[in-house]
This record gives sequence, structure tokens and C-alpha cells, in this order.
Amino acid sequence: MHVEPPDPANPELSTTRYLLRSLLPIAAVLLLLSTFIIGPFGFVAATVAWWLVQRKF
Amino acid sequence: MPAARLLVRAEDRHCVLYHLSVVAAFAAAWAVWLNPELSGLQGFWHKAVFVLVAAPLLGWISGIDLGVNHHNHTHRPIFRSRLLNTWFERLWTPFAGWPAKYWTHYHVAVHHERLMQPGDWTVRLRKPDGEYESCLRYQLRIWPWRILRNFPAEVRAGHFDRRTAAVELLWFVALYSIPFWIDPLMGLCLWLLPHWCANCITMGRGMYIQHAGCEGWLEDEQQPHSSTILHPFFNATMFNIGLHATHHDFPGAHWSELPEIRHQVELAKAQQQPLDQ
Repeated sequence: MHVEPPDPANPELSTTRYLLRSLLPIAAVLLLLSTFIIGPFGFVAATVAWWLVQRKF
Repeated sequence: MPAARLLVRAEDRHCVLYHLSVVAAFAAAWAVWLNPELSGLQGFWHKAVFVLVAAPLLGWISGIDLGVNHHNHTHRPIFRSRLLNTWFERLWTPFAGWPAKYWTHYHVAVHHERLMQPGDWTVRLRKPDGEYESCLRYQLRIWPWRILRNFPAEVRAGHFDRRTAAVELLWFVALYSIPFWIDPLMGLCLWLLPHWCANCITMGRGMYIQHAGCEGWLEDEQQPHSSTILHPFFNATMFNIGLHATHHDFPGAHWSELPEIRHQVELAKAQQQPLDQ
């Protein structure tokens, strides 16, 4: 009897893909909330650092 | 699984979650603004510095949320239920400064159907001297000015349903005014200003580079009608929008299928070439 191999899992549904695709809004939420801890000037420094880092990807 | 029953495609749960992340980002910014004793946002300079960076940050993600994420939904509605699509749209497009259905008309009926022809006012236009406008000029004029000037004409010409335009504008005004009711200055700084950034910086620049220089396609269809960006990080975080030429060739294709479709098209072209020679 011939048995069809199971379909490979859809890579688009993986947590990794989701996290990568949502990286920018997730980072924005974390950066904005970080203001409560590091203050507005800390927020500015962290956001500029994030901008420079993501440009290298 | 409930989500699988609600959505047409399982992949589109990412579209929903992306939008909810954008909503969370606006909520976070407003929480910072409305709780100055906790966030340290006390005094003019603290607020000015925060807004100067938070507005483009929010504009960056809300521009993608509308121009890429909601864009996919305009071609392939994500929910099975028409009612759910309608109401999710009403809570989706205001987060980038647009009433529901307006952007769909702008993109599908104006841009796709009239691609770069005289009626396509979504792309760069010619200046009075005949030269194409620069990216900066385009960015500064597209939102809200070119939108406000052209939508009444679209309605008058019968291209955009008058009742839809009125109903969706009403819902938009009701929802869009909420941040202004909470705090008018917050509404300006962390709602309207981010939407200017979303439309003029993020989407404006994106829209410009997708078609600028491709106008020769109108005369010669062998030329490309759209630019293609193959950068992996760009496409991974932008729902494959870099494959824009493929998207225009196959506008009904799901965003998750664009890389495979492009691969197949390139393969077919490569196989065709030796036959042509």
C-alpha cells in the first residue's frame, strides 16, 4: 500500500516567521513602554540605537 | 481552532496580530503621554523630544500596517465573514489616518486598474513643466492634499459609491476623534502627526520607489511596470511587498505565495530564453 508522505508544515505559520514579521511593531511597543523605566531621553537613545541596528539587517 | 474558522487563510492570523501590535503601540504611546508622573514626560522639552521620536516610530509601523498589511486584505479579504471584514476594516484603517474602503478604492480601483495611466493619481505625477515630480514633492503632496482633492472627483464620477463614502467617513470621524476627545494635544502629537509620518514618509516613499522610473512600460510592455526589492529582511518584515512586480502581475495571489510565484515565473522565463535565441 502506498502512503503519501505528510505535507511539510507551512513555514509561514511558524512562530519564528511571525516574530520576524511582527518585529517592527513589537519593538515599537517595547521601546514606547521602556519610557516608563528609562524616561523620554532614554527612549530617544534606545529608539535611535534600534534604528541603526535594524538598518544593518 | 476558532481563528482558523474565522480566517480565509491561516497565514492571515499574522495580519490580525500585526494590526493588534500597532494598536498596542499607540496605546503604549498614549499611556506614556497620559501618565507623565510615571513616564517622566513632564515639561515642554520632555514631551517635545518624546513626540519627535515616537511620531515617526508610530508612523513607520502604521504605514506598514496600512500600506502593506491592510493592502493585502484589500486584494484578499482575510475573514470569511463579510461583516467581520467590514468592522475590522473600520478599526484598521483609522490607525493610519484613512476611512475604511477609501484606501481600498485608492489602491485597487485607482492604482491597480489605471496603473500609471493619466487617471492614476496615486503615483508620481508630471509637473507643469512636463518633468516628473521628485520624491520629496510627491511625499509632501500625497496625504492628505491629493487625497482630499481627488476623492470628491472619484465620487462625482461614480467611481466610488456615494453611500459607502458617506457611511465610512462618518465612522471614521467618530473613531478618529477619540484621541482628540481624551487630550487634544495628544491627538495632534501622537495620532495625527504619526499618520502624517505613515502616509508621507513610510507609504509615500514606498509608493514612489515602487513605480518611479517605470513609466516607459506604458509605451513598451517589455519594460518593468514596478520595481522589485529582494532584500530578505525587508520582505520578511513587509509581507513580501518587495516582490511588487509579481504582485501587480498576480494581484489576487496571496502575499505568502509571492516568493514561489516569482520563482516559477523566473524559471519559466529562463526556460523560454534559449527558445527565443
